[in-house]
Amino acid sequence: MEKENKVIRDMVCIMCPASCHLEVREGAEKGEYDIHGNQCPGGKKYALNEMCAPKRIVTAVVSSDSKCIACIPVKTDQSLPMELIEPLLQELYQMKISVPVRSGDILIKNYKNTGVDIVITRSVEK
Amino acid sequence: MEKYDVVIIGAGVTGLATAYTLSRYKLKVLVLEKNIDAAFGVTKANSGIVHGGFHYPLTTLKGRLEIEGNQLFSQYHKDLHFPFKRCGIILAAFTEEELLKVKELYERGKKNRVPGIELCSRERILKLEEKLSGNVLGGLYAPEGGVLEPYKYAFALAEISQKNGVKILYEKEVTSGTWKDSSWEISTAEGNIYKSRYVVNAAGLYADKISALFGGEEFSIHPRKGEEYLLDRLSPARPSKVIFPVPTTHSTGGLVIPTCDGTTMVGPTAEVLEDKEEKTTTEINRNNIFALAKNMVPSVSEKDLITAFSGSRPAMEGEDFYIAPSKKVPAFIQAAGIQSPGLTASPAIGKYIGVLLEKEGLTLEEDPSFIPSLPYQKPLWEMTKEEADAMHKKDPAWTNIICRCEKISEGEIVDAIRKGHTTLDGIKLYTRSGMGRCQGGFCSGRILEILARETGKNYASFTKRGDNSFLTAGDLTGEK
Amino acid sequence: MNTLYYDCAVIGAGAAGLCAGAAAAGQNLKTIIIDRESHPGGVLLQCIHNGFGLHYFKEQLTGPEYAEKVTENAVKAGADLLMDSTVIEIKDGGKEKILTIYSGKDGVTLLHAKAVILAMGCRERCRGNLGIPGDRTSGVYTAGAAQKLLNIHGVLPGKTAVIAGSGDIGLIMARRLSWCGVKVKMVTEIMPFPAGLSRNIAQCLEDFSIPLRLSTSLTGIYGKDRVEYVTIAPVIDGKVDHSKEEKIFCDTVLFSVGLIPENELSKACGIKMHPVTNGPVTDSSSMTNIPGIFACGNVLHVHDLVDFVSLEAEKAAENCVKYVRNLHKGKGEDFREDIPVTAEGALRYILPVSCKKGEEASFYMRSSSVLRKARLTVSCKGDILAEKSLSYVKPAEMIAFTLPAEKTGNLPPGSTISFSLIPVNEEEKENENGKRK
Repeated sequence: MEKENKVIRDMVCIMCPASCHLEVREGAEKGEYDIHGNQCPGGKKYALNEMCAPKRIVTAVVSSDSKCIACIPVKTDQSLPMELIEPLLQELYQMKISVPVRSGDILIKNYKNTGVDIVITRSVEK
Repeated sequence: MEKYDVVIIGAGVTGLATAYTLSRYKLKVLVLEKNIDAAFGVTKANSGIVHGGFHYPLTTLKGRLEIEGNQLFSQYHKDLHFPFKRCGIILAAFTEEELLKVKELYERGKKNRVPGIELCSRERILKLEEKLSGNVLGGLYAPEGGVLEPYKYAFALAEISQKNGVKILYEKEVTSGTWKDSSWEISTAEGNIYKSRYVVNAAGLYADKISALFGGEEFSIHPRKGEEYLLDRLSPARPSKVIFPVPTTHSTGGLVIPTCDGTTMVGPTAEVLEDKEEKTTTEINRNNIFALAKNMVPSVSEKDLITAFSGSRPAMEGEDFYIAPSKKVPAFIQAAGIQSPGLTASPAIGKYIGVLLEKEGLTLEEDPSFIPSLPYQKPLWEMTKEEADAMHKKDPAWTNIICRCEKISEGEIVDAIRKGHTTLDGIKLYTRSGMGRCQGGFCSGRILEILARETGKNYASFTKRGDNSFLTAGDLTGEK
Repeated sequence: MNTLYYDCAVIGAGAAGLCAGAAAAGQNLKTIIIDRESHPGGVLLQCIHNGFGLHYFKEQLTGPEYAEKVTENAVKAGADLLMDSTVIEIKDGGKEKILTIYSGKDGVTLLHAKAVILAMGCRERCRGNLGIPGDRTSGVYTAGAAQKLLNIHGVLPGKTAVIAGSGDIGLIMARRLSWCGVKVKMVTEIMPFPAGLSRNIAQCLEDFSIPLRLSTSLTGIYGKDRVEYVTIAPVIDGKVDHSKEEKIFCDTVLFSVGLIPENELSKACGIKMHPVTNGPVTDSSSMTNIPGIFACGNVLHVHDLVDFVSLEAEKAAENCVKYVRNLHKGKGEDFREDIPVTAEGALRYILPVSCKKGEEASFYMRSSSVLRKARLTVSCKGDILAEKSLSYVKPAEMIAFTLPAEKTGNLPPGSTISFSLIPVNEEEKENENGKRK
């Protein structure tokens, strides 16, 4: 086994509850990284993203015109660049959803051209 | 300007028992309370004990009013239906010195004609109360002592008084009193003026301040803080009777109290303070009080603790009640220094103040339309299945349970709100919602929902107990 | 009064109740799921964050999505849902259990069921349980109560918060509050290691630079009407050092200091409780000491993953189905030998506390300390039946283990199976304190 480079960063993978402890080491080429400690490919992808452009799944609630359910939960269908989280939340908090809605309905399509959709996560009939 | 015969300052048990007494007569009576609800001052954090009548000699006013008050509770309970039980009081002695003191109190009790008072051997006292530690040497038993829910009692006094025409205004802090043209002009913080021939100062911790505002006697109320610790209803420590330690020079407080609602309360402590608003509980006091209580009842355990609270007794120099017409200003009755056994004495205090007012020239003419009692409404948790089902037919909200720990229904919460209890604490004290083991964790949100529906106000306007005790901070859109 | 008859009554329509109900109804038991809330899903409805379902549904779901799926499963399987209804009593009448139910809609209902599955979940420990000194101000919430205010009612609990306890709900709330413009000053934890999942420390605290103060006790809450400040102090060798007390100004305190299974109903009907879990004692068929009453999910013991709750619930339901079928056939109980199971070494508890000889059994257990590397050994009288190496063992993270049928098939009568968790290298016994920046 070749000699391992030094650890640049320790992190906990947030992709699933396994919470793998990841070690990020310098890769063979400059600007490349080797990821250790992941139990699945998702962990490697997460660590590389963390090193370059961290992203997060965002969840929030949006007020609704329903008589029974004051707030409807929503999520981003994939991770969103962290710098876009705050603007997205501000936008969501000013919205009002008209019911009925189904879980899976898209509230915002392709948010700021990121390819990320904002999806409703609870069905509300009335 | 509205004109009244009597204005009572303070809607605690003293003020409200007075209002109830006066409500029998053809009088215009107004109660001014600075808090948002009745009983929110000294009354709220009371231990809820109806004392036996052996602690003080008949040479003191409080000794006389305690005995009389204790006996009046039978009738008051019958008419007003607040939770009250004559479960009996036990004084447990653990040292020879304490046994001597018990004998002394027994003699006093005999002199005070305390009904059924009994000097007990070790065997007798253990038989009377099996939760007592086996180290007990003997004690005293007063079967007519008991427990009540002080706030429910105060709310009932308020309700019956209002039914009989007494007006009670909340969030009205009295800021001045002027004697003018043979009557008092009373101003409140928001600028209202009320005119009255007589004033009763039942301002609890602030009786000294009120007296000064009216030019009355100078005295000062020293807050004496008591901390209380409430144990889960499943606690094995719950005794059948109120258990008192023997009062000695070096120990105070530390009772084990079987509350009316099935929980066990340990306390109170006694600590002299400067600050009347100081209501903290402390770790040191908790440890002390639990040690004292465990000494008497070994099954008392911190593990069963569900909450703690504290309040101050309005003590004053001389330690006796100060209930008398002012000698400095006319038509002004002082009712100050009403600390323990103030709750026990309160029915008698109310009557006594009525007598004093009459002596001062107030005409007490019986009102033939006087309504003597309140309708009884059994709480859901005390109902059988059949009773609950019958209640459901009258009002379906009565079988919709909101507070799961204490089994309190939507119907009861709506009832509380419609009777004017619009704070979370007010609803809690009226219905017991949120008093159980989860301490409102599950029901607070649902109660806010009902409050919003019933009052048409938004969440941000609701408080725990008035003033700045807001519960929430606006909604997500940034709106309040 | 109304009367209803069912084969199986499930109390609670959270993840456990819905999955148990789906499984029981799927096996053609006439099943009803009863819940006091208006909507099925339990606490999942307020857990709007994602991270649920990876084991059970093989996809990342948010709480409401998970709730919707398990609700759909239950309804499709034919289970009836009785919402806005509170069970106030369970009476054991041998072959029939009678539940008293109160609801605003129907009044009082007596429900006769052949079997009952307890799935009432848990409640949060609160300030009062801890006896935190200070003032009785407004602005003190349990993390879950605040979560409900925020995610269901859309109301902010305050503006600046301190979170006491590093349980998962508290950590999730730290992020949620931050995303709502509420300043979270810190999370305090009395133990030297966090109570919540590592991923939640990473994504809920580190992302927002919220300090996690380990070995720190919240010693008081003060304020006239609303919270004005709290005091905190370090815990050294299990003792609070009051001389180093600090004031932290805030208007809100959230408690995330553990969950207590809600067993008042169970206790009142005579179900035996486990001293460590505060839930019922169950055998390998998830049955309590009362034949025909089963338990699963957080009412049994507190889980950290809803997926495990669902799996446990399905298993309880399967056993419930067997029980009801045997009742029909007039058969008695399962007379195969029960082998007692014990928790040793660093294990705080194990459930169930017994298994049937020669039958596959799933066990759930928790460690009492943080271990970098450890070995779980299953043995009987010194013979090792099974072994498993574990890393990053924490009290916060439940360990699941399935013992295959053949391991117990040949054990002599009177055997006891012992599960033991031993650190692999004592020196490496990790103290998370200081490891995180």
